[in-house]
Amino acid sequence: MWGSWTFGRRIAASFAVVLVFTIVIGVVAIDALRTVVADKDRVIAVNAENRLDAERMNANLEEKVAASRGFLLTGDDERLASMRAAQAEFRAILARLRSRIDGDEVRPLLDAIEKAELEHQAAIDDVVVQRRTNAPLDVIAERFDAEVAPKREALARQVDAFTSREARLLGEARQAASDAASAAMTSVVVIVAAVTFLALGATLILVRTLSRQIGSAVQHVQNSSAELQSAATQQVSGSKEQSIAMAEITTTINELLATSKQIADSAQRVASIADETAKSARAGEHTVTRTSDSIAAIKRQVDLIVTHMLDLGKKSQQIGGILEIINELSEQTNILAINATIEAAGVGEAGKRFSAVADEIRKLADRVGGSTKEIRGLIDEIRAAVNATVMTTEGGTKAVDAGARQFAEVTAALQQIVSSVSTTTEAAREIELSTKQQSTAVEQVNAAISNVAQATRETEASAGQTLQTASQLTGLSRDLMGLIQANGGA
Amino acid sequence: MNDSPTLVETAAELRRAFDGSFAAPSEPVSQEVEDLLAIGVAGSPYAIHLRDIAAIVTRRTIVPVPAAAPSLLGVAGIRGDIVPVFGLASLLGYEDAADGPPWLVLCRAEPVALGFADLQGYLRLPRSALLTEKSAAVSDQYVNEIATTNAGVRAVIGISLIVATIRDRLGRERPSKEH
Repeated sequence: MWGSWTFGRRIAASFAVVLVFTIVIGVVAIDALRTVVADKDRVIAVNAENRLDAERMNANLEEKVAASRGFLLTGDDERLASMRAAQAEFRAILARLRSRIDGDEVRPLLDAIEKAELEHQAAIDDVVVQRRTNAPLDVIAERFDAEVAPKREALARQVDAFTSREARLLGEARQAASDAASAAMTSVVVIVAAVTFLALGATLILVRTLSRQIGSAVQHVQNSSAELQSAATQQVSGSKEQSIAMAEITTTINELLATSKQIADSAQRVASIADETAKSARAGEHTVTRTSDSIAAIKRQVDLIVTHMLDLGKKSQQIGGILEIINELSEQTNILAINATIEAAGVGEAGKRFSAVADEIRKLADRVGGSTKEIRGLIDEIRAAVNATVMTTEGGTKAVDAGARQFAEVTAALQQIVSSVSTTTEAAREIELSTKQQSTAVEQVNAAISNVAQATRETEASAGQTLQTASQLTGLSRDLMGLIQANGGA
Repeated sequence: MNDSPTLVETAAELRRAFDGSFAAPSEPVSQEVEDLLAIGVAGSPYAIHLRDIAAIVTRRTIVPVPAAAPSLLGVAGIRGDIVPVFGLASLLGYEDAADGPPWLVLCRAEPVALGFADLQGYLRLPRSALLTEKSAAVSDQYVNEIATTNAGVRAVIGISLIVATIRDRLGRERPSKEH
């Protein structure tokens, strides 16, 4: 329950406790003062008055004795009247004492005083009577000393006894009043000490509790302020970096905007060039189609050439075969001529003409052989040329085929190019449109970035203000912690 | 197409030369010339005197026979006679061709045929073009002359030397067989 109370409530409770104790102290002090006052009043009103009346009785007694002595000496009635007045006063005081004092202890004393006074007055009256008889003064003085003086002393002793008693009672009452006052003072001191102790205890508990809780809270505040200071520092640094980054982003976005515009222009040019390219590609496609037809015709002609060349090769091979036969014949003729020459040489002079004929035949055969070699060389050249032509033609055929295929591929490629160029045109237009939209978006982003940069600068300023506030809060929490620790230490 | 007149002209020249040889009077054969047969043996040019051979034949079947003679290739039928065929390459110290020589010459002195690989032509050289070889090496023991032609020099094989050698071999082997 105490733990859930607020500081104000706790302080109010502590003040309430101290106030209750203060009220108790006041009540006790008032009661003690009232008791002391009552005791003093009682002492002043009863005991002091009784003492005073006792002293008055003593004085009246002396006055009556003096008046009686004067009358006895002078016989003056005035003295007698003074004596009677003193007697009446004495009796009045005694009556007042009786009315004031009521107790079994004092009543015999008053009775004894009254009796002694009566006896004294009786003795005085006897002497007064004798004085009125003009008796000698010596006799009267003697009688006075003999009769009146003892009575007076007895009365004086009774009065002194009463006076002593009253003085004793007065002292006792004074002492009692002083004791009561001392007791009240002691009680007040004790209560004040107790209240002071309790107040000190409550204050100490309150101070310790509040110091501990406030110290913990202040420690938390200090830690939080330190963290806040650190966070604010980081926020300042981050805000500066963010501001720099925003500046860079702004620059980059401006460049991006310029680039986007360039891209839009380029896309527009690309679209225009793509249109022209599409036209050129269509024209190229038509040209390639016509060229393909021409190539097909060339291919047919080349095939025909190849066929003719192959026939020519076959014919040359046949010529070569016939030439082999001729060569064989010439070789045989040559051998035959040589053998004829040998035979002619063997028959001597008669064979010389035959040898000449054989020699001519051998020469002719040699020449035929040489011619056949030349023809073989020519035929070999023809065959080589035919082969080369066939090979070249076949290569040309293959080249034509490859060219035809390539032209077909070119046609397909051109068609693909036309399609691609169309797609490119569409894409370039889309790029142009998208780039324009992108430029608009980039401008919006640029504006947003400018706002963000402004917000960043404001954030930086706010972070600086937060940092300053966090620093002040740290200082305040440190000062408060110092105060609390000083209080706690005290 | 430009070659056709040349060929025609060549044929006409041949025809004129052939006809002219018969139209001209016969000239006495000069004794200062030598008729030679140019041959190739194992790729080397050789020549043989035409007067040393009786005939020249080609593409004859050579039948191998068991014999101890190292150069004897076999026997062949030439003009109705069965003659031994010796390899001219092995006689000259070369390796014989595996499938046999296509050309055979029949020696005039003895019925012996010599086989060789290549017939390169007929040579009619002045006698002054023939030089007697006196310092022949061992491998050229059958060469006794050197013929100088426009195409170079040729060793002239002495058929008589070969025939004499074969005869000597046969003469050495025959008594041992008879003995």
